[in-house]
Amino acid sequence: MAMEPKRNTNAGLVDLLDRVLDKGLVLNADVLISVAGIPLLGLNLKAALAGMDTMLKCGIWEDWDAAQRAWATEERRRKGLDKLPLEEGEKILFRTFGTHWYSKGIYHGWRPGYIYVTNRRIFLYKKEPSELLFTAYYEDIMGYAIEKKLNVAKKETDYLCIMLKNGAIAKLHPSDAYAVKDAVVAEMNRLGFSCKEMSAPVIDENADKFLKKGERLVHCEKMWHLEETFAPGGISRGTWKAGRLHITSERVCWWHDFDERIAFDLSLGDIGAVGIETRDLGGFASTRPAIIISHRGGDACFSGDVNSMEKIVEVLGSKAIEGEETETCPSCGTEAPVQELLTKGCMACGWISPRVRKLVA
Amino acid sequence: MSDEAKYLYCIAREHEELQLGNIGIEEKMVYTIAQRDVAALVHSCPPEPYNTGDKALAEGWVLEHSYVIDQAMKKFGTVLPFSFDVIIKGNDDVIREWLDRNYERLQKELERLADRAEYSVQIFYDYDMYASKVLSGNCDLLALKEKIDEQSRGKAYLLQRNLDLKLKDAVSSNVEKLAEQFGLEIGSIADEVKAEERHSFVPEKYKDKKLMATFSCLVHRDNVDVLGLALEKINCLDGLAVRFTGPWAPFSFVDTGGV
Repeated sequence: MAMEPKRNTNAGLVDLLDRVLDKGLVLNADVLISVAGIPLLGLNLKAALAGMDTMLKCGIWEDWDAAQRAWATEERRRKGLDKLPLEEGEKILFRTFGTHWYSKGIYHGWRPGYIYVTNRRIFLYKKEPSELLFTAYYEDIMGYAIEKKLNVAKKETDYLCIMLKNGAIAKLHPSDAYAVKDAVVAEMNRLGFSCKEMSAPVIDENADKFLKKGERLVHCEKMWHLEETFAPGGISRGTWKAGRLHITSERVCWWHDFDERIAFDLSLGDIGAVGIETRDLGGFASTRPAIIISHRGGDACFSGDVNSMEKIVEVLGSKAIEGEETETCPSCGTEAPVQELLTKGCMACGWISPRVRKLVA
Repeated sequence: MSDEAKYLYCIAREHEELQLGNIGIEEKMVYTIAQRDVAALVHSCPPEPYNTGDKALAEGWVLEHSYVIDQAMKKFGTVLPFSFDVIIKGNDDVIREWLDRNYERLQKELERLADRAEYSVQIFYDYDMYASKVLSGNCDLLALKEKIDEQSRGKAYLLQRNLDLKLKDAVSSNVEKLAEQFGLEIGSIADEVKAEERHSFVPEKYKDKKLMATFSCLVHRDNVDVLGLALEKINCLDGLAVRFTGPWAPFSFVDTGGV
């Protein structure tokens, strides 16, 4: 007796998949817009149908993976990122391992790579996957500061801050901050740029814990804060606590070092008056000047180094707070106002946002 | 550029433009676009591929795609099936132009495949049975087996592993030879046979057996019974089982080059 060929739908489905997804006519004419054979188009469907196991067994994954790798390699080659992103005529003068403080959105952290000092700029480059993490041209650099801080291991290390003319500050942690600084300053001087040593900048790692989305840190100083406690009988007593006073684009707030939290929080609009006065405040500061920030709830007192206090008053009285929000260009890492980046593109490397490109096309 | 596009199911021999009803993917109206005596079965869609991560939805689409091709086979005889998700951007005229440009190739291909359909043959074997058969016919392996019984447990374990590996090699070379022989046998009946290299689907019924080979066969209508007889013979052999499915549109045999 002869066997009869069968087609039952249940088992048949898988037989079908083998055929319908992998075989049959496809087109390679210019009229074609999609073919199951092209990775990414057909893949979702195959993945949905086959499950990972089958995909591995059938080699679908390998095909796709190979295609992806080929594409990525091609892309890298096209962008020329497989080698150091050096410009024509750019020469490397100094190289050392280092990290760059990156803080954007929900992610912040030190990103490692190699710091290169060239005859044009300083940049931090990560090889795998290749990415330019930070770049600053000498003409954009205003000055530097070396900050001594405790690192994660509670050891004192040197951080190199580079202040840019647009107000942005890049924070680098090279294995030898002084060596990098010397190389940059020497090259900048040779080229006729000045690079001043500046006071340690407004960067505070704690800031990432309390800054809201879109809020920008403008200034930060070490400040004591007089915390009022009310003793029975209505006699007000104050206790000086150590911390840092932050001025952000939206508020003034004080970070209590010991409690590791914001203990004083005042929105910029609620500030009545700010001044430095010498008041009898009791305790160690009885005869010292203090910043008094008046607001509806009363006066808040902060005290610290005189220069720091003057700077705080100056910043609170200036327009520096209302500066534009900046972002780094996703292609070359140059800092620029967000709106400019989004609508006009990057002035440094010519990057244009995909949305704008689409509109133009 | 218009936003019109046509999803392609298959090419059939037909000179008339017909409406085949809402049998397409997601109940789309399927119709023919004819050029001379060759027609494309299509539905109108936006110029975007069908894509989803939803298994049930994807399965539905594939079944619907295949359903249209099955209906076409019933109505028009041999068809040239398209792979899933082949979409041409443009209106009916664009398709007509494409049909015209490729007329000779499509025409030849329809002729070559006329009155033929694709069948799938899977042959399964019982590993244990084959292993004991191979073992009993191989002196080297038999000697090794005897040696195992005389050894201490540790050594016996290592030798047993050694034997298992050698036996596995012997069985698979044996099975390969057998598969080749079956392939030739089937090839004498079918117009074309392709041994599928990828692992294909194994239904529950055959789970205790191992897959020896999967053949896609292009078979003339008049030869299906002959093939069935030959397969029944194989199916009756000790330790073997055959799964015979079809008919399918000639997915594995349609010439995909150059259209």
